[in-house]
Amino acid sequence: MTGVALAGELTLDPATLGRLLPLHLRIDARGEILSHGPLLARIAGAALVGARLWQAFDIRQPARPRDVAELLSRAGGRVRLSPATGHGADLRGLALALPDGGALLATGLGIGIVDAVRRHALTQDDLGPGSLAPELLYLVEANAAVRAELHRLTARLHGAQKAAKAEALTDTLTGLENRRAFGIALDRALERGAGFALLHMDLDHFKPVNDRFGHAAGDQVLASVARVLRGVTRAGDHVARIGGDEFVLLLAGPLRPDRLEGVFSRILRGVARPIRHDGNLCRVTASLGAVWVPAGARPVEGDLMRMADEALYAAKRDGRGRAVLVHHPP
Amino acid sequence: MQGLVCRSIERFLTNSRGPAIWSRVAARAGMDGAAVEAFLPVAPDLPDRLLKAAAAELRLPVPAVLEDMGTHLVTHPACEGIRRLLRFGGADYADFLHSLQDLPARAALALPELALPAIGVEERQTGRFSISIAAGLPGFGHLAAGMLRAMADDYGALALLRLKAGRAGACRIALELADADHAAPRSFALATAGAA
Repeated sequence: MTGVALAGELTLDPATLGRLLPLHLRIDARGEILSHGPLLARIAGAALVGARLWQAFDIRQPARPRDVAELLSRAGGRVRLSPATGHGADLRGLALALPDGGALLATGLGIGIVDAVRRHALTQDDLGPGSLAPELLYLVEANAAVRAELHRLTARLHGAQKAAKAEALTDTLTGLENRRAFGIALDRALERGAGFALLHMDLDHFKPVNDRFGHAAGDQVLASVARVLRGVTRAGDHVARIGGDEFVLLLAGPLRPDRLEGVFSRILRGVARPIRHDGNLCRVTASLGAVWVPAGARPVEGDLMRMADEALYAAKRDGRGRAVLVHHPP
Repeated sequence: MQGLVCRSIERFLTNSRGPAIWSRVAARAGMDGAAVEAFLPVAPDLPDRLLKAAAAELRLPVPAVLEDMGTHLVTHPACEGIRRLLRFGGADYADFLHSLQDLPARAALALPELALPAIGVEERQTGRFSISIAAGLPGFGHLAAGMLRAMADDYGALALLRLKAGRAGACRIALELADADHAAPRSFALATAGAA
C-alpha cells in the first residue's frame, strides 16, 4: 500500500510524500517543522522535527522573512536556504501555502548534488524518482575520463613537436647544428653587435679516405672531427656541419682576438690526429678561414661569408692544414 | 569513434596481458608503431584488424576476445570509472538491466561519436530478461555479454546468459536471473571521480 488516498483531492501520508520529495519540509503556521523528507535530515545533519525553521536553517531567499506569511508572499514562493549547522548543502525550491496556514517547502540540491552524493554517500534510492542526478554524475565521470585522454594526447603532441623542432635544426650524422640552425645563430650575433669570430672549415684529403676505406670510415672521421670542434667551443658558441666535409663555427662567447690563434691550433692539431677505423688509419687535416668581427662593426652577412670563404681559399692555396685569419673593419 | 575503440582494445590488451602482447598485436594488424590516440582519426578498418590480430595472438576466436574485453571493462581497476558508470543504473542487478535502455543516450552525453546501438530490455517473466541490441556495431553483443556477466558478479547476483547473434552486429541476449542475492555485492558509492 502506498499511503495515497484519492478523492476529489489527493491525500499523501508523510512517508509517501518523503519518497516523492526526499528533500521537502512541512512547517506549521508558526514555522515549526512538522515533517520532512528522509534525505533532508542527512543533509542537514541535525534533528529537525519540532525545531523552528528559522533556528534550523539560514534563509537566503527571500530576504529576512519575519514569518511564514512573508516567506510565502515574497519572491514568487522561491526559496533558498541552507542548514544552520553550516556544513550542509544549499537547498533551493518552492514554498507552497497549505490550508492550515503552514507551508510545504519542496526543495532540491541543484548542482550541489555532486558534492552531496560524495559527502553523504548517497545512492540512487535516496534521490527520488526521475532525478537527473545519475545522468549528471555519469557526465562528470565521463568528462573526467575524456579530459584525461585529451591531456595525454596534448602532452604527446607537445613532445613530438619539440622533437621535430630539434630535429629540424640538427645534423643527424654528427649531432652538430645544421645550416638552418647556424643561420639563426649568425643572425642573432649580427643583431647583438658584440665581437665574434666566424670560422669556415674544410677537411683536406677527405675524399681519398672515403674512396679507399669506404663511407663508414668517412662517417667516423666526420664524427671524430665533430668531437674535436665541440671540445674547443664553449657555451654561447655554435658549431654546424653545412656540407659533406664542410663546417662552420661561430665563436660568440667572450673572446679576445689574440686568443683565436690558440683555438685554431687546437682545432688543427685535433683534426690532424689519425683516426682508426676497422684496422685502417684515416688521416685528414683541416683548412680554416676565419673572420674576426669587432664589437659594433655591423657587417653584412653576405660580405662576412665571402671574407671567410676567401680566407679559407687562402689557407688551401698556402698548403692546407692551416688557418688564415682576417679582420673585419670596425 | 574508431580511435576510441582502438584505444580501448590497446588498454584492454596492455592491462590484461601486458605491453609486449599489445606490441605484437599492433604489428600483426599492420599498425605503424604501437600508439593509438582516442581522439585522432584512424583507418576505418583498424578496429577489425586489431581484433583479428588479437584473436590470432591469443589463440581465441574473436567473440571470446570481445567477451574478455567486456569483462575487463567492468573488473579491471584501471576501468573503475566504467564500472561506476554502469552501477549508476540500478541499486540491484534487475534495476541495472532495465537501465541498459538508457545506456546509449548516457554514453552520448560525453561521446556522441561513440553511437552505441539501441538497447531494448524486456522482462518477460520475473527474472527472465530478453535484451535486444540493434545492428550497427558488430561485436558489441559479445562485449555486452562479457560486461553483463561481470556486472552480475559485481552485484552479487547469479545470472545465466545466452547470446543469439543476428546480422550486422544485432543480437539478442536471453538472461535468467537465477539468484539476486547469491553473494555479497562489491561495495560501491556514486560519484568519486575527482574526489582525490
